[in-house]
Amino acid sequence: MRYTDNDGMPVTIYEPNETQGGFIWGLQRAGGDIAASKHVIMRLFWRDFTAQFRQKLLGYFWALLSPLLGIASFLFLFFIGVLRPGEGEIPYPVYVMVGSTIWGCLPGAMGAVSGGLQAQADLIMRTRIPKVALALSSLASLSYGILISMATMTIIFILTGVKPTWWLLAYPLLALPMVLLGTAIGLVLSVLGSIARDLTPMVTQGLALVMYVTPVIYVHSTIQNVFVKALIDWNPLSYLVDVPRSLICLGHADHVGVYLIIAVGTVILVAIGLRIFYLLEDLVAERL
Amino acid sequence: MQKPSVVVEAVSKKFGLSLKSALKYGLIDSARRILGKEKDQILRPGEFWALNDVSFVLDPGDALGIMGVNGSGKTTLLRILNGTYGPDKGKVTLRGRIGALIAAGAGFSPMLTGRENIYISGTLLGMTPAEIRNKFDEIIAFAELGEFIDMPVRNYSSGMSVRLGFAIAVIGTPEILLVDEVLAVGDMSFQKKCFERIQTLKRNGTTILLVSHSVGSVWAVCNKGLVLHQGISKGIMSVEDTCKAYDNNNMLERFHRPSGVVKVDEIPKEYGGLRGGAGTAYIAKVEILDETKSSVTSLEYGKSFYLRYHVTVLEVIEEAILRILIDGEINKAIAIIDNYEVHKTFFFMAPGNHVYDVFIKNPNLRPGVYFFSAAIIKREVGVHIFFEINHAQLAIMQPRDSFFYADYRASVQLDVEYSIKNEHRSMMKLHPNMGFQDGA
Repeated sequence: MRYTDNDGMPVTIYEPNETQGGFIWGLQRAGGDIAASKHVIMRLFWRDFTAQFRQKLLGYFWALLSPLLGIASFLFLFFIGVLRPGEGEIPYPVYVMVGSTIWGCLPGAMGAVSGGLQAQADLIMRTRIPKVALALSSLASLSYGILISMATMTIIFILTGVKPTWWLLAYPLLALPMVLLGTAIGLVLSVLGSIARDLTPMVTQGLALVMYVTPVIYVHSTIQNVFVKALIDWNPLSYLVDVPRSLICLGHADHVGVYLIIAVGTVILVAIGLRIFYLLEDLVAERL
Repeated sequence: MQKPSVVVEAVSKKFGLSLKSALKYGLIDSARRILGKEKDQILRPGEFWALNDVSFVLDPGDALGIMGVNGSGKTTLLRILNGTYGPDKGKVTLRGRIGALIAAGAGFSPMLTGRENIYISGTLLGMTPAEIRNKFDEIIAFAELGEFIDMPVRNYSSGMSVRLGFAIAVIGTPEILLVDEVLAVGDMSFQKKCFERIQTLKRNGTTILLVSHSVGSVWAVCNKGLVLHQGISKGIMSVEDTCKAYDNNNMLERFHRPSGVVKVDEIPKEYGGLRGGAGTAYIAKVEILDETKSSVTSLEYGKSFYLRYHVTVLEVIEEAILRILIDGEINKAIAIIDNYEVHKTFFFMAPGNHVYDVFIKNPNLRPGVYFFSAAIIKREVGVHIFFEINHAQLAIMQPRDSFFYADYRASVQLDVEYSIKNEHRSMMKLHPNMGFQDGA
């Protein structure tokens, strides 16, 4: 607990079970911790961003090149005819690129947040930076990644001759539920993953399987199996990928209402994630 | 009234002994907390108290030296004060901004320049960009980096990197400063500067908590002390008593009980081992006794003691020598006791069991662990009748009325008297209790 006393002096109190508040308390505490650590989050992002491009021939161009190379593998499979995704309203290269970019926000956010504490183990042991700030600081690089992917999407749109809609500008907002879901899972994994080390790889593998019941690289209408079709329909992630993609490429989408409900659900999940994070955060340092 | 800056009330912290128990209890604790239950405050199988019921209060300007042998709980205490670990029991209240010298060099990126790293590390230590800008020149001057400030940190020597980290951490002006064993960085002039900086902070009211193994550092910086031993503390003491208690604990930690009674068939008839001899006489048992003839393993500095040798003689030795060699931990053969040297006479050892008591008066052995080896020698025979190396140990503890801190390597304390002649003043003499006094 931290407060300022009558003499204007900051007072810090450490007690057992001091993180036993409710959900609102968790959000308030996280808000306070993040606000207090804004310089730290920005500085860590700047450090990692700057350091990764030093002593490289292509320098900052790597920021754009890496996501383009990632999408190239799917396009290669498509053009040689191995991948038959089915015909849809959106040309396939654009469909898979936008779909996989939106999907990428989920494992991206989850990996960044869950690995945030492990990656900053030295800072946890030696400094007094709130742990939630360290866990969430990696999201700064994800947000720059989202901006970069808007640029790569624009390049693909130009190359394929498809005209994007104005929704492309709202891409960060449309992908936000995916980021929030990844953050919620990542927050829980960042603490539980340091207790049981194999938890994060297990969830990462699970997520790769979930991608196959989400219309990311194939078109929903081409699925014939009734069971798989039902699975895709009941999978909330299908809507989090499909609705933003349709809006960006076509300007309209079905199930916008469902998408909004799920989006609200992801906010609640982040609150739950933060609550669990604060309940368990002090177990992390003992196991680093 | 001045408010205390650090209040530690009955703080305890437990850990699992193995990774397996850490995993098991980690999962159980996680489930308990998610279900809204409080921390389990009892010790479960496979756990131990790293810190047990530790309490103390410090005022602004106090400097506390926290000492203890490895595994005594010092670092755990410092980490609780730094907010890294949460206490399992008790409460810690810290009043003021907290600086941590444990964090010197935290977050340095080797690819970036010293200048860039000052901003990173400063931010991580809680400084705002404006504060860093204001202190920037002071940091560079303190770190003595000059033109190298724009070179990537990976090209720094280890000394340069440590100096920079230390400078960033020490230039802030916290109300509470946590320091973990880092005062011995850089060359002598840099170390001197670090100590001076800490003293300046102390004079300006910063409360300092210094964890160290170095009696010299603690004595130089601190006015109070806390000794931790297996997670338990006896509360705040004077800094000298703290250093003495730490030294004593440290000695007992290094002390190993020697072997018990020797039997004749256990004596090898060759050199090379710790024990050997011809087998016609041997030392069956060695005891160390205090002045009241009670068996001891440790004694306060300056106390006289007896070495008692239980000798079994199987064949008569007319001109026998009982020779005792004393080794320190660092210095070997610091003293030798030989009955022919002492009295110019030999012992006559008749068959049977005999007890030889050797009284060592006012030994002047400085605090430390001492090892005793002994041999029975027959004058006319060129080999040992019996020898045993390190068959007894004695820990000499710090004295109650004085404080030995200058160099742990020294074994013998000499009786010394100082006298100083000054051109303008009369002769000064050292008074036993009052320091230097005018002796004219």
